[in-house]
Amino acid sequence: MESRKNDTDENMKQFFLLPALLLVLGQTKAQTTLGTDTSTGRVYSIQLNNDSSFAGTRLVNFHTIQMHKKGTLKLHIAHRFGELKSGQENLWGIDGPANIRIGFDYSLLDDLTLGIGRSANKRIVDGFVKYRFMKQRKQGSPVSLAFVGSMNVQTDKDPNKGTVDAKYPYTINRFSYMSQLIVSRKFSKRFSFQTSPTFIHFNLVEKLSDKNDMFFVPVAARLKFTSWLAITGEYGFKTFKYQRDMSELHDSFSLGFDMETGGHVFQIFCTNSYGINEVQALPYTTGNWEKGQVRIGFNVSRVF
Amino acid sequence: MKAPFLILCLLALSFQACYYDKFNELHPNNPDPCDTSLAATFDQSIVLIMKSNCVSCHSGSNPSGGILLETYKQVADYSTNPKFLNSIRHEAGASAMPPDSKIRDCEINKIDTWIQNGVPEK
Repeated sequence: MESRKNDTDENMKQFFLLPALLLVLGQTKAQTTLGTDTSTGRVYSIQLNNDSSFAGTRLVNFHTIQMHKKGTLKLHIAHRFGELKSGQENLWGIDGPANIRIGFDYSLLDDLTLGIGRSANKRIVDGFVKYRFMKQRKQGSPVSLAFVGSMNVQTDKDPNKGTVDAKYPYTINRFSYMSQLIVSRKFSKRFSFQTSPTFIHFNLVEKLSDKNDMFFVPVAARLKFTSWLAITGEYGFKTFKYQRDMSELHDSFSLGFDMETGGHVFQIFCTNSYGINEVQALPYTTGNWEKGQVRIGFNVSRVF
Repeated sequence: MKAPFLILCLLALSFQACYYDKFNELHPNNPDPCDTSLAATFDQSIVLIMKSNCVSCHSGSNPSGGILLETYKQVADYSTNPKFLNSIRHEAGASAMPPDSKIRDCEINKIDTWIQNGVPEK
């Protein structure tokens, strides 16, 4: 047990090095390029990469193939309201319970991004690395490929901490990991599609019959209507059972709109997921669209 | 060769601390609140359900929704509010609780029985 504790301490140190590194990198002045908002003709400063398949680096809950230019620092705020069926008294979910994730992404290179964030749900702090290693070209690869690896730690209070009933017997039990390969293709100026086979590992699951490893195949698409407005959708397919009883677990499914304005991306949608990133939304979505267990959510991002 | 090498490094970094722990294995003697040998009283079974699902948010100086569910008195008092059971059952017109999952039916039934029996403490 002692060696395990030492392992845990070492892992905690390594985990907290990431935000420290990002803080240092955040001091670097972001390189700015100029773009034009085609709806208004206004010139604005933005560091989006040129060949955009998607408006943002996330569609609803999942990462997209999209990257930012080297040196870009991005603030990303994701918010999920309560369920629509909670009714008028709860203003159809606006009164909560809400989940919010606030995160920062920093592009070390045009094709390499580091990010950190914190979600209200289970007080999850996450860090990720995203690396795009192949780009779609007219004379070349028909798809773009990227790898995303994330580490997540649940920092919520353990009411039984220090007792034999502790919810997290070891600190390392709070960790989960995600690895994802994004395969994306921009079929036309209007339509982009991607699939991202995803492997998720939880260091701690509840029952003996539960699996620590899970595999999913999320898909996502965007259909642009105008230069600034698009309809978006994403769906997370489960591939095998990781709990004996899966009846309360549903595939994460979201539908919404992307709105691009100068320097901002605003996304509004309906989703059955309360969790925000992949490790929350893919395995543990309990909302059922057929029963109206959906909620309104939005993402706002701003690049600096 | 640079890209595969970098991906390999990222993968290695991602899985440096994988454990395959199961809560029920680490706590083999941990009582299951659904166990029929445990009476539907606060001390025997309800407190287990509360601690696993509610207390982490509904406790302390700034409890979620201003609702405290840490002690017998707090839970017994709030159980008189119809929203308590409706929220746990994820019924229309109530805020679904816990918001990210639904507790097991056997646990909901235990809470229901506890309320019907007059919220006994021991």
